[in-house]
Amino acid sequence: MAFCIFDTNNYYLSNPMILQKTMVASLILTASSAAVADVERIWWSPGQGEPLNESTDYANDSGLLRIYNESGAIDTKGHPFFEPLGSNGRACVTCHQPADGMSLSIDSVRQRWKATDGRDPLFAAIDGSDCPNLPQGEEKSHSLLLNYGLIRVPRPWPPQPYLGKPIEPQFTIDVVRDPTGCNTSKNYGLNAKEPAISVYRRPRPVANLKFITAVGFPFEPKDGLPLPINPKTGEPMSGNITADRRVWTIEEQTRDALRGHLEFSGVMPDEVIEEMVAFQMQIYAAQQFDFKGGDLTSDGAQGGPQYLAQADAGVLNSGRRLPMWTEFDAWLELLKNPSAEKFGHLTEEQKAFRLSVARGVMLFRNRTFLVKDSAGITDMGFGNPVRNDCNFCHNMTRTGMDVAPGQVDLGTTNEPFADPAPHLPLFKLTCKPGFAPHPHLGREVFTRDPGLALTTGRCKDIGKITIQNMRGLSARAPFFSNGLSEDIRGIVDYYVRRYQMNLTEQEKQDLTNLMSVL
Amino acid sequence: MVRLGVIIASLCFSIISFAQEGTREEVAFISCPVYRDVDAGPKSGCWLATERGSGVQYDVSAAKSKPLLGQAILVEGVVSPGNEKFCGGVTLEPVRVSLLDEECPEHVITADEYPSRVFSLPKDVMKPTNVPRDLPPPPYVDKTFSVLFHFNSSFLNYQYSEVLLEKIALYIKAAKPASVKVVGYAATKPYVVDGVDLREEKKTAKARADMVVLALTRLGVRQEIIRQTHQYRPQTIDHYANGLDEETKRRVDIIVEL
Repeated sequence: MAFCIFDTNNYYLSNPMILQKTMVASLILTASSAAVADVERIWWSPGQGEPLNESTDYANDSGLLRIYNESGAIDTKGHPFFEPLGSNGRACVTCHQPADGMSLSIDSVRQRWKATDGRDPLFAAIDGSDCPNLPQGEEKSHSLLLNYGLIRVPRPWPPQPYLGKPIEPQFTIDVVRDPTGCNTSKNYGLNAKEPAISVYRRPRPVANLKFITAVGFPFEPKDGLPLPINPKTGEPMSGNITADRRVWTIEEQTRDALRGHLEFSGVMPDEVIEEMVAFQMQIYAAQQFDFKGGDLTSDGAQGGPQYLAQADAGVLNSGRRLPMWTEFDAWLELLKNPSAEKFGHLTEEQKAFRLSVARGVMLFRNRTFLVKDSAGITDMGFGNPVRNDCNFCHNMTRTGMDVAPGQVDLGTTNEPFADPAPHLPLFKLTCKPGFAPHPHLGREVFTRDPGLALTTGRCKDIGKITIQNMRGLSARAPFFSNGLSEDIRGIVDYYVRRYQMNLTEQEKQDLTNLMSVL
Repeated sequence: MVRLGVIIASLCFSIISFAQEGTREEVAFISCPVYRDVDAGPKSGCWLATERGSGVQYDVSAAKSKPLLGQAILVEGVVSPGNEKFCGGVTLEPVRVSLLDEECPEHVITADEYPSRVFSLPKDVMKPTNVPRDLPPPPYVDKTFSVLFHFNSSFLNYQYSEVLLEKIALYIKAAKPASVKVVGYAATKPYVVDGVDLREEKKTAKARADMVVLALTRLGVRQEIIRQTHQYRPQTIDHYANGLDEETKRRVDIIVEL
């Protein structure tokens, strides 16, 4: 939960050793005038018009998240990212809040409902409610946003032309369960004048986009093809921007969000789009301070967003030579010699936490398990199953994206692996004769979100979702595209169940602690 | 089971190498894959497949593209005995595994006493995007390249196709040919293995050509110089790639004409 901010230009955490969660509020009151304690001020409203500093820290349950604005402070007054450009009063910042790692935490959503009695533009009928045809003043009409942080994403059916080519869907869709009523609605559902499938997804963070758009290799092995080329830049495009690869560039995503989420009509001038894109590309978000472990850039560690800004994106971290999370290599020395003099200044609690993070790093890199029935991983030549570790897929330097970009089916949306979710719609997708079935789930697939398949129309893509950037997790629960994991520990627990990882309680906590400091 | 040239002579490019290699035994059979959960690090597990006619269990782990549990496979390989200590089966290497439509029971067995091989990357892998690509030096001549596929598949296989296609695209960029002819093939002639006719579908020929053309254009080859066709009943390319001749019918030829 975000509950305070620090302008790090004025209030640097000069003595993080004493900073504890319970002390934050009193510290704020005695800090510089730029430190703000009013909970309501954490929420960034459209048109608020205050400067966004070069560096600002926001507290969450684990510590402090830092937003780093690489190009320096900006005046948000009149800035298109912060202004309500459409008809529903929202700005981009509405769903991409700095305190929430440029995403949207469930705590912020609930606070906003309470503070405005549900009248904040966040709860706009178009996608901030379960379906626009529901009575908008009622809390239950916004149940998916309030309970799971989910925004409605209506996808056209059949799919729009993709990369300039018409799509012939390889499957039919039946609505099996429709708790929101939107998929069977005559105005918004499959039989509407403009047929659509409503899926419900978490807002993806608008931060660290250098890594999201980076391409490590020009080939997409999951698709078996070189990546498409951006006609403007001549560079390959990653396709990692949205959960379902429906757009390929930040420009395209910005226009798509303006139309869909802000209900902007007309054509936004290119220079405005460019300003919005430039802003999005200069924002970095990462945890900077941990209440138990202390400063995440101390004693040689390279946590925090400034290191993200300095790093080259798209670099493969894999194998012993250059594995993931070298940010915390300096703390790995604790594993060998916890009594070393260089760690003598740490409290016992700090040392214990950092040891746990170090163990988490080693688990992430080295603990192998059988990855099975995960299309996008196990159907591209590695075999099903394939024994590997977390680093296998989460391999882009500093963020844990997949350097060979693309989407995978972890089972978070497809049955039989997805956890029960009676609040979400359930679709039956039936692969048509003449087309190959889903590689692991057969010709009939039950899913809460067909994911990439709604873009490509292919059976093999049912339930595939873009691998997420792993930084700033402590600020933006819940997790997975459909919000099924309410906290970081829930992510670990899901993987342990899904892939029978057989971790001890301590090992689960070690991975949780690692992810909390990213 | 079909023995493909039980003793095949002259599989190497010269008489000298033939004499050194001697004879080799090729096998082709349909089987249900079994995964032996041997752990020697990432990607180290063993894949076994039993030839039903003889009962011989082969180790097909050397296949570039591995099996999927629950799905029948066509195995085509060369017997390379002497390495049974690794996975518990007679090693096939080189070996190619193609996925078939038939379902199989899923079996994961324990490692028992068998070690596995530590995975190592192929020698020739794609370079990262930030590594500059050098164009091949002259002389430039008319040239035919071939990209191989699995049975009835148009999927461009990882850690094989991308490296080859990039080399082809770089050659085309350097040679500046008048035309590039892309010919997709499907092996539609009967090919009986274990009593099953494994002729490929005709549509696979076009699908393969489509994929290669799309790949080449994304790698910067101009669409205007590409001429795309497809054909059936191709001849094999003898002694190509790993020497498994039958698989060379499942291919796309890229004919660069200056």
